[in-house]
Amino acid sequence: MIGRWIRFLLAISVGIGLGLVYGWIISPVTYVETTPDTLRVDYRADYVLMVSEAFANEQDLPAAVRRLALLGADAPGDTVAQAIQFARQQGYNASDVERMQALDTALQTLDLSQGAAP
Amino acid sequence: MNEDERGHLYLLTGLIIGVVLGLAYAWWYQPVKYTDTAPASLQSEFKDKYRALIAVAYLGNNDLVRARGRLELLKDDDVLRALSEQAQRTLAETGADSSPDAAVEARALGLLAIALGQAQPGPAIAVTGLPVTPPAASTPEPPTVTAEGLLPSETPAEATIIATQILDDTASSATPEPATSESTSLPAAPSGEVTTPAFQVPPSATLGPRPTQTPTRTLAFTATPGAPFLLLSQDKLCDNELPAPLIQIVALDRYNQPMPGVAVIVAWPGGEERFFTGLKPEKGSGYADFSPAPGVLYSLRLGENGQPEDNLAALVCVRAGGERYWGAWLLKFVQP
Repeated sequence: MIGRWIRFLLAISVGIGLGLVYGWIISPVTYVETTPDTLRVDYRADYVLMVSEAFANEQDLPAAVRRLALLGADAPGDTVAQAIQFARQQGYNASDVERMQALDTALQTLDLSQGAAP
Repeated sequence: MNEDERGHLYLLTGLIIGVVLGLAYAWWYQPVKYTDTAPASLQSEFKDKYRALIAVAYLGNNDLVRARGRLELLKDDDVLRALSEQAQRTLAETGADSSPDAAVEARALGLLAIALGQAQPGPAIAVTGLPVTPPAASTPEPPTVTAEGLLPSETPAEATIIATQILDDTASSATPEPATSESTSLPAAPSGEVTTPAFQVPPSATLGPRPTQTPTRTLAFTATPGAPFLLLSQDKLCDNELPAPLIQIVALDRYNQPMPGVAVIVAWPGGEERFFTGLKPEKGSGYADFSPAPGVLYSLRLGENGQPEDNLAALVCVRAGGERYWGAWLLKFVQP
């Protein structure tokens, strides 16, 4: 009797394993429609660079903040700082890094103005 | 049913219960979560935002090579068509209730589409270093999940007006050749990742000389907002028999030079459509057209504050023998 139960539990375990293999590997839930916050670090850096290029032309800081917000819940300044760090590591053009730094500077100004005492 | 048959059944039952439990865990309780994704896997709404950002960035750096490289990351079936249709959709959505960036993005998308349509096919873009390993998954025991075959299929919306057709790259004789981008060696993979080259931003390319037919304005950035377009001339064209009636529009600046990227707004009872000039570069960078439905009266203007031209209808031409055939109206507008 005990042997039957052991074999039963063993069959369940095998079934769980098969289910996990199928559900995780063979046919996982297909989150193909991802969101920008899941972008890989290099694509995120390029995204920040695009926002910087747009900002350099438009000088529209609220628009830049709106665009950066798509990359996730981090503060825009943090997102840009991370991108600048990655850009330096990867040897981006000096002009590209400068644009990103200009955006970073502008965002710091925004943070200061929002944090200033009335 | 004897004892032996029942003995096998309980194993099968256990197996089935186990599979169900495993699937429930893998699909609902702890499904695979994707991280480190690429732009091609974004939801269509975010792809649109990404595409709009590429266009707005292009206005900022005027780097067509880079813009093209970035657009290729989205893996659109037809890059120009996607740009043009999104430009129209965005333009149609501009208004009091739209996002504050809509007008800028509509213009940027349209101008990028025009620029790509006019440029010769560029050199192979050095968008090297695209990931060859699938995106990582952040489950407790992360399985390797391939992204192949999981990308959403794109179904571009159909254009309803002829002017939105985007042709393949057909360069005019004055079209500049973009300078060949310098190939860049791949950077080292970021530390912590396994043999996955990082995406390298396409290097800036120096464009060649500007087209001679627009000596005093660049393609994108020197429009004179505010001045309403006025009708310069309206001509009947009955030279060629057309399969369908046509209304042709040409937008000109004060120097009589064609102006691409000008919004054309066509209204009729119960409907309105918007499109841009310059999307048929073989007919001129300031050209647009649409095919009116017989029996319908249209109102047409260029830009939001352009002078409207009302009661436009399909043109019917008559030959000497009385045979009737479709003709075309040619409307030229100028921005003083």
